[in-house]
Amino acid sequence: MMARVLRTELRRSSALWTAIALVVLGAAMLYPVVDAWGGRWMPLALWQREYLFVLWPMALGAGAWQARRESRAKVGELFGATPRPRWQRVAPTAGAMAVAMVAGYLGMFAAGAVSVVPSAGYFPLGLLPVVAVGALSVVAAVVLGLAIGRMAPSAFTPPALAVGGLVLLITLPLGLRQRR
Amino acid sequence: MIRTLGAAETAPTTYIGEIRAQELRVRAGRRMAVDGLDLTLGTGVHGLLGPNGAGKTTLMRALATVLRPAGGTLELLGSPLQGRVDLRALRREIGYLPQEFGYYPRFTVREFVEYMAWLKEVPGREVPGAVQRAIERVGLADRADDRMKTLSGGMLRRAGIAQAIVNDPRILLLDEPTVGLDPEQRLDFRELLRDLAADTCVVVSTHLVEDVVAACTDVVLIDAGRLVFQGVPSELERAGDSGGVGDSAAERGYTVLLRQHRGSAEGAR
Repeated sequence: MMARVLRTELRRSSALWTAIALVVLGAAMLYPVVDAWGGRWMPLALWQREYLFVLWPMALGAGAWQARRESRAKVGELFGATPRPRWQRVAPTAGAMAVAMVAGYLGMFAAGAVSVVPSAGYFPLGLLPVVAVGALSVVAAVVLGLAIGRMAPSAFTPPALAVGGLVLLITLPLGLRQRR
Repeated sequence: MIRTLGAAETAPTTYIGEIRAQELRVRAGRRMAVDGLDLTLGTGVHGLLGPNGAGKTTLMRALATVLRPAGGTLELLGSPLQGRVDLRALRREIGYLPQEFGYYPRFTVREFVEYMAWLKEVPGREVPGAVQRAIERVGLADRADDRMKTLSGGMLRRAGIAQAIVNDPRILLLDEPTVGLDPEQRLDFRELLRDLAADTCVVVSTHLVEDVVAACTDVVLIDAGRLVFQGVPSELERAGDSGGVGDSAAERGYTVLLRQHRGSAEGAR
């Protein structure tokens, strides 16, 4: 039954659209700098990781947006009278969003791979952990977003998280550099 | 569908009345909306009548275990709702259609009813069959795979009834289920109520006195959070013999009983 609910969530939650948005945005950021990584696997993985400073806040906002679904649809009264504990209710939603994030991140890598495959001869296995850690970090962001969105179910939460996260991730490295 | 019955299903009941309230008090915000209500409801269809603000919805929310009683006792299926009660087991036996029925617009009818069955912890093997039966009983089988957002008001109400009955509840709470239904659909709905009445305690809150007379085995009239009248529909109609305003005997009975109650309440003060 859990599998059926997860399938419904994958199709009907914002998971699918979030994954598509991640691929499109990711490709749109990668291709302007194609000269820096085109034809080589490891630079592609590293450039993708570099762009986490945009993908990460976006995942945070997407999670918060999805978390607002219950208050948006005003189902609190209906769900409040059901026996299943809340954490079990949230699990398939979080699962669907996590699947979307992994698919989106890998999709972005695949979009870049189109410009690598024709000329690359050497495939370093070392890029696998780089991509895996990147995918895991956007999963963490989306779950964190879900949690924050549930705690603060306001219409302002998703954009505030996305913008706030972006500002933080841009200024944090600058601030650290100045200290040195 | 053939399935085995569990011991819990064949065991004789050990309580009097699925719903028992004594001196029940429930708060709605700051106001005590249900204030000293005594009520016992068994199997059958109980029509809950009362003017706006009488405490109907607050009572329904308390019966659905959404609101906790502020005083008095409330027993559902024989277990008192206080202290460390096993709400989870109790909620599996409850079906609830709130006055404001919230739903996920992107889900299809089948997906949403299935999701509700999952939230109500219906055993996984039984879910597809239970969902199909519930959708058929409310006459939505031809729209089962359409998105919720494409349904009209009356269809949404029926989808709401379908999710309420999907777990074969022993207590079924319907808060204004006939809003938005056309006359033919209301007749079908009454038929469904009669069908459920045999083995379920159904509480239907409504403003339509005629629905109550036509489909309910029992009338419950409340005002200002207290019980005014409880009896069979014909008693309500008889109360209207002595005057009162309204187009039908039942409506006259409704106004007479309310007036009498308010008169005696004033006198007591």
